[in-house]
Amino acid sequence: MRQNNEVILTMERVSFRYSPGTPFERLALIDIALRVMRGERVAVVGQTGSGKSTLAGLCNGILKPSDGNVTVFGMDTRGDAKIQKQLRAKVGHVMQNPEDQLFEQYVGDDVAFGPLKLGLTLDEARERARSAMAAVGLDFTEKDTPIYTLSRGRKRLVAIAGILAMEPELLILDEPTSGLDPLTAKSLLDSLSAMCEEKGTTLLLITHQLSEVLQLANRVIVMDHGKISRDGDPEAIFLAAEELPFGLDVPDEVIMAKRLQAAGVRIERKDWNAEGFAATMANSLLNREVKDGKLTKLE
Amino acid sequence: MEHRDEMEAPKSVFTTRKIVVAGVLSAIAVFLGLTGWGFVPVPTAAGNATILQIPAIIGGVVEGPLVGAVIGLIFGVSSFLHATVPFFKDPLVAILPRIFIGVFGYYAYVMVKRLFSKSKTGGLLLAIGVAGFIGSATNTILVLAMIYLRGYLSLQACASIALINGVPEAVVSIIITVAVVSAWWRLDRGRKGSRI
Amino acid sequence: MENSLNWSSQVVIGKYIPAESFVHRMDPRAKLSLFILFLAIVSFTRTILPEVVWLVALFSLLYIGKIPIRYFFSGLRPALPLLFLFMLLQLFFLPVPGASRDWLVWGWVKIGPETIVLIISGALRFIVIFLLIQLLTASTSLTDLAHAFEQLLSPLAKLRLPVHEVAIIMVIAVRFVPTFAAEADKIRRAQAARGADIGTARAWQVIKRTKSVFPILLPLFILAINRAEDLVMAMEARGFVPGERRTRYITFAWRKRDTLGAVIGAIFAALMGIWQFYQ
Repeated sequence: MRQNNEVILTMERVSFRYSPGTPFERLALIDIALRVMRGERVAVVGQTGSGKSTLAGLCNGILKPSDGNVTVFGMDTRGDAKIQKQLRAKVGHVMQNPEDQLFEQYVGDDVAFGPLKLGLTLDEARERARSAMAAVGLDFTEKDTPIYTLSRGRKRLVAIAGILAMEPELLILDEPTSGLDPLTAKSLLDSLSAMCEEKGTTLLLITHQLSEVLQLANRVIVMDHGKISRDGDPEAIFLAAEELPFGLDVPDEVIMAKRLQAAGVRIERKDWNAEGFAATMANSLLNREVKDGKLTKLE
Repeated sequence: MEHRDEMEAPKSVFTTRKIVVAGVLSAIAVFLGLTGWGFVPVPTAAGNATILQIPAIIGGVVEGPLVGAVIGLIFGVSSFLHATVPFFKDPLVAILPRIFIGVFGYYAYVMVKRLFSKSKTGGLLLAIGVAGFIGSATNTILVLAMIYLRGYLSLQACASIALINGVPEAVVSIIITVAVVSAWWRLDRGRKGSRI
Repeated sequence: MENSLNWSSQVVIGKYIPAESFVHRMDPRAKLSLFILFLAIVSFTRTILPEVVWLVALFSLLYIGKIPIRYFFSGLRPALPLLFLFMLLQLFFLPVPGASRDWLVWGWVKIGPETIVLIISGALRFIVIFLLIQLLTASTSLTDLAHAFEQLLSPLAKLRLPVHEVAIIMVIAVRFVPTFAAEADKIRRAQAARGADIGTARAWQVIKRTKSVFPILLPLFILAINRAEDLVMAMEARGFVPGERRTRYITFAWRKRDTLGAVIGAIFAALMGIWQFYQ
């Protein structure tokens, strides 16, 4: 799925402290090293307070590393105002509960706010808004709806569309589905997935839910107490872990796949669903027999 | 220990709602004052316009003069405690005038609303705007009047500051008060539909 | 709640510095009453000598209260440039009514010895009040102050003045300042990510510049309104009735030394008041 080997994000020995020099000082990230290639879809998981959101904040220069360097699209995030502006244009960051940031009266104005701030014309901004709203599953006619009439879930979609309309090359999503009903959450992830596929957007998804990782990511980073404890292919990591740590919701698919693996049956990740499990099990049973109450392979 | 001997509490002038709204808006006023956020960078004598009076005006318009007065009082106490500008370390300058911001704002709102009771949203928006103006002017005029009365600056100096600071501050106050209250009450301000 | 109150007292009124001292142990009601009495008298001082006496008295209390003097100076330092600027401003814009003679007259600018006395006493008064506030807030926690305020004024509740209600409003206000500070910071970062920039319009475009704070200010107000709606429901669901006399869960024990301290303080204040009046 990697489109090329261009590195777009590098972190070298990055540490981050909140409120340095005060009694509230807290070390949130310790000695992080990370490289992200263009087109990758990286999921960052870990417990609350493990440093996930801090990691995300470092990627567009909103937080500056206390130690080490963060380079995004070849720019040091500690750069001057001009660099900051370019960073903001290339890196879209959807923070937690982004619906709290909406301030315009009408949906369309809020979605078009970012593009207009990038210096686009009204017509260009309209087109951006149209495709961004489509990408999250909002009808363009909703541009004239007053925001206060929307539910929290739909406000969330508007806020995400506001970031997508800036057409970022790197999209950071910080728990985009928290508090959404399962249906809205699923359809949001589906449309985001499709959009990234189409535009080749690099994705950094912060989440608690391993099922979202399976749905969206081709690489997972597990954060633990400010450090990266694991980094790699989600399938390999989920299957290799003795027990999945980090107090996360383990999806049924993973449990199932692990049990099959324990029984000596390999199953590819694309088949981690009801049909796939059924077919794999049936298939493997065909080649086995029960001997002394145990499954054994046919000679 | 005291017993709850007055189970039939006398009806309070405050409802739960008024208490909470006053508390939350006071918190905003205190927060804006503690940080650099309480200012809009428009040209005045002080270099920027204060918006710290606005929560009191909003409280007055939305929940009545009493709530406006309490928010003004808390804003005043906070500005007295934290003042680094010498004359605001005087409670008669920092606290007393602030009590009237929300009160005058409220009465201005009520009067204009009555005048334009026929037109629906337009009259309401106008009334809110006038409240924003009067509340801000109350702050400027009463504070500078106290500064003069307490002998910190001459009348001419006070009058010129009132003009140079007060006018942009009142304009800023009108805009923000209208925006917040119309968002609160879900009024349509002006345009129907988005720009795009 | 209690913890968040003590935490926020650092931001909201000034740092509380715990210590074992006479000043710390004094009943908060006595401290608050004396604070208000002192403040009332100091506010009307117009001459230099009484202010020097106030300074000496308050510095002694700072010493008795074991409050580090560098804490006082670190608080005062940021205020000093403004103070000097202000004194300079007063030099030109403060004609003293009935001044006997002026050294310099130019337009409405009149400078004479009376002006100088007024300016210096004004600056001293600023420092005295500054010291007074720090003495109170460094030796008393915000929780204690809030309860002392309510208890001191509770006789007024009998006259149907909403003392308890105002006390609750103050507690809610203090409680929410850190919340809004955190939320405002989040909103600021989020809007910065969207390219919002404040104050980039031309200076004279007052409306445009005002609207440039909308992306931060409006979400903050809307958030506050939503929080208020939630809190109203939560309080009413738990049976809160405005104006109902509540059981006090904090009681202060008034001791003999509080009486002693209050009486000495009151006598001192009265003497100062009389002296100032006849000067």
